[in-house]
Amino acid sequence: MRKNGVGGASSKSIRITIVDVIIIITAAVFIAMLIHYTFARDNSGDGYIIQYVVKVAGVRDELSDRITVGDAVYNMEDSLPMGTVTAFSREASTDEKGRTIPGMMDLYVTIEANARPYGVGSAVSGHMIYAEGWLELRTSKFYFGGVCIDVSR
Amino acid sequence: MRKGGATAMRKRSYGAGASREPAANENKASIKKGFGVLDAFAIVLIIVCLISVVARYVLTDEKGILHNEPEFSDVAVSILISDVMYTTADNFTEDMVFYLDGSADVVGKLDANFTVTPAQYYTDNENGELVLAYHSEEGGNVDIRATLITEGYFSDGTYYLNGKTLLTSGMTITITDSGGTMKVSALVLDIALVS
Repeated sequence: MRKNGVGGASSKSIRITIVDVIIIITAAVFIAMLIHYTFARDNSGDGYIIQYVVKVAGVRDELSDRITVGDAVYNMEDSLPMGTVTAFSREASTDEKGRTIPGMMDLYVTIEANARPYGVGSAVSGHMIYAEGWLELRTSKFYFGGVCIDVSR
Repeated sequence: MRKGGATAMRKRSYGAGASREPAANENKASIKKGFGVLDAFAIVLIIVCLISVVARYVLTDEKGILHNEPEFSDVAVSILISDVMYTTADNFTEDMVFYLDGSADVVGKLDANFTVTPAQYYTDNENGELVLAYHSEEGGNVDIRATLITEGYFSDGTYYLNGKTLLTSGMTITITDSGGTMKVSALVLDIALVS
């Protein structure tokens, strides 16, 4: 009789209510998110370095010296990091007939970034990088929009 | 025998009812008394959340401890408004206020030192080369170089107008006057703290 009584008491202690289930699910989701953002985000096992060159056409001469090597580059839309400027050059802009446009410069910005596979190409911070693609980027002090003219791994 | 049988039946049915009712009562009691560790955890969690909300409100608004928004500074934003009618330039006066693209967001006040020059354009010279030329000073289009005194803060070298609109040189912004009668595109040339 006592044994039965004890058995009844233990079956009471493991009774789980709907509130307990909700709490367990919430805690499980929280732990899963914690693991995801702690480990999955920093997992760079499938990442690699790429270099891409952006041509910024027709920049006013007085603004053409605003980019320097070492500048961090961000996406204009979401401010996510897009790499670091590793090389920079400029030349006089020309029109469709090849004539020099006075006071205008074309900028060539080489950016090195950590990329991840994206389809058959590469993406930096979720933005696909491919030749002929238009990119709107910025450093902390200068906005520039241009065409990607080269991508290399 | 009959009587006895009836009595036995009554007793039996009574006995069956008696065995169910205590079990039901036991279940109710176990639900009421089943205050476990998880329940305590949930209550503590709710209390901590409530305390956190109150603490944040108190510390942010009264003590200012968590008030981590940077202070706004006066920042000079140099702009170039290209190739507009000279009548547009005539409307420019010191301290006139400009707004961001027809919204209620103030961009800043116009500094007194603005210049109006004949607008540049490109033309071919006798050798077929592109050269810069200028519109007529009388009634021609003009370029306006101006400085707007704005408010905002710098974060990692990036300027946030009014603390929310990212602004860098090279960007083109659309600005309107307070009456909403003038709307022009302005190229941001430079951004600097007002000394």
